[in-house]
Amino acid sequence: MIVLVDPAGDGLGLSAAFREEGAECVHVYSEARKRAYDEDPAALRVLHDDLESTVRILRDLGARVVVAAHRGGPALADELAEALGLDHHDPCRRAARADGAQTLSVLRTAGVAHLGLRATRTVVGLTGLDEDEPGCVPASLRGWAGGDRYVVSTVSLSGSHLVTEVMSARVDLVAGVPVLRHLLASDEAGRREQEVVSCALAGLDALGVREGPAHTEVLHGADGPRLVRTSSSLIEVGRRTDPFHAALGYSHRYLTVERYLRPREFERRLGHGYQPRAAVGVAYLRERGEGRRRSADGLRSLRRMPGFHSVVDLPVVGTPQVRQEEPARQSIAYFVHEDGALVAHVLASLHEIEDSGDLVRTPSAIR
Amino acid sequence: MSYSASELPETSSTRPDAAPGRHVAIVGGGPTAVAALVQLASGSAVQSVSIIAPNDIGLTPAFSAGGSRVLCNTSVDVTSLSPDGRSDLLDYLVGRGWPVSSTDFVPRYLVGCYLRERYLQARSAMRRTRRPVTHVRDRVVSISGGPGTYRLVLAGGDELFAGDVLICTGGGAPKIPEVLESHVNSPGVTVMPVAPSRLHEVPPGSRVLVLGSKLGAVDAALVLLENGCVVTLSSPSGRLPAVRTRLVRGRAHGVAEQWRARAAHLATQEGLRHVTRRLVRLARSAGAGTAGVEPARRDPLDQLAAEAARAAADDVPWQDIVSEVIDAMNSVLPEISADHRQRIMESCRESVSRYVSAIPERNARRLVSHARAGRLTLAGGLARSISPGPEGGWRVVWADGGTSAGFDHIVSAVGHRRPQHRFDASGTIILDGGAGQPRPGSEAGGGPVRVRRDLRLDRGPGTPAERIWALGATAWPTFPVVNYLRASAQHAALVSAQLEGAD
Ligand SMILES: Cc1cc2nc3c(=O)[nH]c(=O)nc-3n(C[C@H](O)[C@H](O)[C@H](O)COP(=O)(O)OP(=O)(O)OC[C@H]3O[C@@H](n4cnc5c(N)ncnc54)[C@H](O)[C@@H]3O)c2cc1C
Repeated sequence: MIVLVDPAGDGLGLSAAFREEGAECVHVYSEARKRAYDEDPAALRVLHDDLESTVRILRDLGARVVVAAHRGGPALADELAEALGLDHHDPCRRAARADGAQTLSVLRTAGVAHLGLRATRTVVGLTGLDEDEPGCVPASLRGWAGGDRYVVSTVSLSGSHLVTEVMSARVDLVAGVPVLRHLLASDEAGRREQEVVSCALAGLDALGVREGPAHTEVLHGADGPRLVRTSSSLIEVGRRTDPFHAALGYSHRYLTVERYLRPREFERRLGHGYQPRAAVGVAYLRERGEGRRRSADGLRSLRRMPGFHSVVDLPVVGTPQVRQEEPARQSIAYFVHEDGALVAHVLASLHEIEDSGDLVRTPSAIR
Repeated sequence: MSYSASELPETSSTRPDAAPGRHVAIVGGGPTAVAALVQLASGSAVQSVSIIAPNDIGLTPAFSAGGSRVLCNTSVDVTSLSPDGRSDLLDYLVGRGWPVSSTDFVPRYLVGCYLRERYLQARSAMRRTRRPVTHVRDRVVSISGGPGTYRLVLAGGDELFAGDVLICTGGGAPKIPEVLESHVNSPGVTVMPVAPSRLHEVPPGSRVLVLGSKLGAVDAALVLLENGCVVTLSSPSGRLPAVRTRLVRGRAHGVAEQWRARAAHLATQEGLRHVTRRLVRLARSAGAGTAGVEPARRDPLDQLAAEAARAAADDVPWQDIVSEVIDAMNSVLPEISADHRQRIMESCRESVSRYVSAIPERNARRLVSHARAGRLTLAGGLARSISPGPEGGWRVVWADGGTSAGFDHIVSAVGHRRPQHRFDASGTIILDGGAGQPRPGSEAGGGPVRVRRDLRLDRGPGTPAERIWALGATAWPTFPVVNYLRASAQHAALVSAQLEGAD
């Protein structure tokens, strides 16, 4: 029995992936995610109240593994795994993983450059499209930290980390608010990316992350890479894993499943390093103008762009536009191509189309 | 570290003097470099290629990321990597599902996609035949040595050896008007070319002065206007480009042959008058339409509106000889002496810039509607001074009459300097931007790089033929119209023929 903690958003996809391979899952929700608990149709689900009773239920169900299936889940997952006596992250570093000030002090001791607590709080998160994401900073408080932003996702087995994706992010300031425009996992890992990966892995080690999925945000500025935040949970960059399979032959979600259900197979990957065969671009489509959507004819251009893979949650004509502060409702376009530079060019061109109001037209859009 | 030992195929020597043409270095990574690689891939003489450029090959500002509104000013027909036959861009776009015809002006980002994909294909084709293509992300500072044993010194400190060198380094750095020089790095000043996304950072409602009135300035103005800014264009000429609905190869009228027949007299007053008369006659009769060019009006915006209206009615007869005239300029003028060429170009510079670099009708229509809505104006004169305004922004004093105006943002779009590659006294070629400007006295025994009509560099009479070729903008002024993908494609074909041939 696999325990998935706070399986909101892509976490439900993780649950489906485990079931696809014959494993059963129980979904444990923290109090803060009561709404997700109520909406979850899964038969096996628990709303966590006190540790003792949750542990008893999980023990009775035969829990073997605990996985944080969402950015909000690691603290509870740590607590449950420790109480259940299951292999998980280093229990001595639990507090360091949960508390910002302690994270900073552990990283400092380990010599891992960090952005600093205050700065981190003001940097918009790159992952987690869930609207009631607890870690999400209100738009008014979000600041701007210069430099190139990256996310490194990993799946770990007994303290060995497999890098699954290294993604650069484009974050624009739109009317003073940082907006995530796209993530790009390129086919080439240059010197900069290698520095970013080293920083992320050093962070995972310092924080005692040893088992399962994690993702780490890193800022690469004039003074080199600095860790922004680490979460020992499944990454959520979109609503689909297929584009990642098309490009890389795997996805973070399915490698997590492999790690727990077929650890021997997973272990074979550890020696090979990160060797992406193709690039994946994930664009969070921005609409401009206000009012009801009159047409979404910019999709014609989007679909003809090199590397176009798919779009999810297409804008529905006749309905009101989605604002950029509502990432959970944004359409997402995926691109897969063997050439990362081409995907980067296509993504930048797509953003120009979005910004000129040519993707989704409204009566007020400037023509 | 030297790249040559590790990058060359095992059969090549590090210094391939015995086998010129086997290892080629392409300096630069823009459209011209792609055109060159495509040609080399279709031949068999070249064994390996190193491309030295700081950027992703094929993706340079001309065809960089932009939306659907930033259009080419050349039709699909001539915006092609293959100079002859059906447009290769047309085939590419059709293959991607675009309902396109050869007369269309397509968004520039699509040409970027095209160039990048054709580069990847040419690279794969060469690799399939065991001919490595390597991209070295750096800049070339200097080239020394002789045919077969050129030594390229890179900015990062590495060096690289090649039998042949193709210089495809494009135009020079952006020009900066003197009045703006001390403010270029200030906030509130943008120097083109930049991606449209940078122009989107100018807040809607801002009053923007765009210095320049040619293609680059018009494009910048359109992006700003459509972002809600109020724009004033200002330039020395005070004229806007002409308007066209296509730039395509058409029925040949024998222009090059006529010019060649009169080559000895082309640069004389009488010769120039004759050529002009014939071109005007041709322009009247070339295509459908009522008369030749739209008569000049005092107000450039009125002129633009009149030309846009004629274009909308498909009444632009002159446009169908432009492609042939450019080809004639690029094939006949390299054959005549540099002085004569210069005289001819000076006498027709304004018309060349206005008609060769005309803007697409759709852009003209958009400009006209912004002008009618009062969002776009043309400054009557030039800026005499630009200084920070008392409450932020910029105070601009105009040259004529000393009146002034306030702006929130200034965009400089006055074009590029010509590239200034040169030989130093020892015969080493110093690439523009490589080692700063020449020191006084250092030119002794050296001088600017000259290009022969076969595109080889020329050190002057009596010196052996170089195996260094200058393609694209680097071939100016021998080739007078170089900011044109078709010219790059023609240059690539010409050089490839020499590399494949016995010479
Ligand atoms: C805004 C704009 C719009 C245009 N629109 C059109 C159009 O619609 N149709 C058309 O036909 N043409 C157009 N042009 C002209 C276009 O620039 C040329 O057709 C074409 O880009 C020339 O390509 P190039 O490779 O010679 O130069 P560039 O594109 O300038 O590329 C030069 C390359 O050389 C590299 N480089 C420079 N110095 C060095 C060095 N020392 N070492 C190594 N690398 C170096 C640069 O990094 C770059 O990779 C436009 C130009 C601009 C600026």
